[in-house]
Amino acid sequence: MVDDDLTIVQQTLSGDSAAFERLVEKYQRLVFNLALNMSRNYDDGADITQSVFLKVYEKLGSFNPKYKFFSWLYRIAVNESLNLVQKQGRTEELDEEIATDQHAPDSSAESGDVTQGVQDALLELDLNYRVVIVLKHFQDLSYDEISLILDIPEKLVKSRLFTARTMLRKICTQRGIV
Amino acid sequence: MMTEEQFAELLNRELDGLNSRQESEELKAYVQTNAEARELYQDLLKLSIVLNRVEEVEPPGFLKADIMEAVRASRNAARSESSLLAWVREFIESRTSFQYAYVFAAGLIVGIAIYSLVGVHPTTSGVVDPADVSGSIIINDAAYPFTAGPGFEFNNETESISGSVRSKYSRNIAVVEMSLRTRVETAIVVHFDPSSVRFKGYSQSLPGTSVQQIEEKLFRVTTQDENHYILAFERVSQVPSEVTVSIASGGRELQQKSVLLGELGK
Repeated sequence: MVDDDLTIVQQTLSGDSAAFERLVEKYQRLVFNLALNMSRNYDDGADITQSVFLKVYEKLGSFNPKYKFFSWLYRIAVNESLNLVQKQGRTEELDEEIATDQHAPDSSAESGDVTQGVQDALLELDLNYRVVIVLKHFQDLSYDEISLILDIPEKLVKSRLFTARTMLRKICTQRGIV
Repeated sequence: MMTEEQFAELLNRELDGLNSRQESEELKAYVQTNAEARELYQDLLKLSIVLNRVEEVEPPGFLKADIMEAVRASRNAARSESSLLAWVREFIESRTSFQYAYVFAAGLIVGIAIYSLVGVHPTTSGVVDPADVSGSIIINDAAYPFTAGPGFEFNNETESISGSVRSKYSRNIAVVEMSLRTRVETAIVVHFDPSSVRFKGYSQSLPGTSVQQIEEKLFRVTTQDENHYILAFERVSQVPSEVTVSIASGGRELQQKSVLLGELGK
């Protein structure tokens, strides 16, 4: 996987634009979902994703191949998401259509409501805590990977994750979600 | 007995499916003995299940095309920029004289920088170019409380020249304000004693057609319309300083009066 990415990066750097398209195809869903979970807005998710890939393309020459490409990509994606969310200072509801389509995986309206309620509660968390929940639960990354992406020690990742979970529990309890 | 930190660590790992069977049993045994810990464990477990149930959302179909379009635009912009730079470089390299121009320009920049750092810039000795000292004067009355000094009005109906002179001073600053309304060429000359006040600058409220001249002991302004002037002096002496203002037109002196800028500290 890593070798594949490196090959594609090298092909892109040597002027093969179709190679970069393969990178976009491979990672756009991952970046979009990260951005969407951070911003909770479909259009913002798309805008952030576009801006992430543009930045990746422009900075590809500075990518250090001794690191994993996806960690580098994630770091850019997290930063772009945080920048946009901080700039906007707002948290919008997901579009009705998306919420209906994507947040009722078991087709149970009640279960979908709980999932959406927890996701909404997530917006109440400070960005530093929200991002660890998103990376751990929605992106399924290890502590080590999160530490690399956020550039913080693994111990801090764990403590932030625990704090984020307890804070989220408190919000959900207050709202009667869990 | 398990510490809070150990409990948090074990609980985190349990929620993330990283505990060994022994660690899981240790955690479960602990929560059986602690009601608060048990409640937290159960709530976080439920929360974790809900969070892990969130499914990925399909990005919009147009997203990839939009990204590639943005990338193409960025690449084209970079190409035009680099081709322009290449053209400039080639242009410069093909002309040896440009390299000498660079050396000259670099020398000039260094020279200006050194001059501005160590050069001496006289402001009141000899004749001063008004362009060097003109501008806006902002006087903060709160920071420098002023005492109103003497002043006078003048009105020459024959020549249709009128105006006023006002003065004010603080411990370190003296200000002379002059208003003038005229339709013929008129000169106001302000004489001052540089041993007690040092001229620091002037300002006029309208661009007008005024012509200023500043010398070691006098300030002269010539105009043919309406304007308002402020002259600022730094006080350097302990004695009151006399400033004489004269108004002249058509080679005739119409008015001359002195104002005494008060004693320091008063």
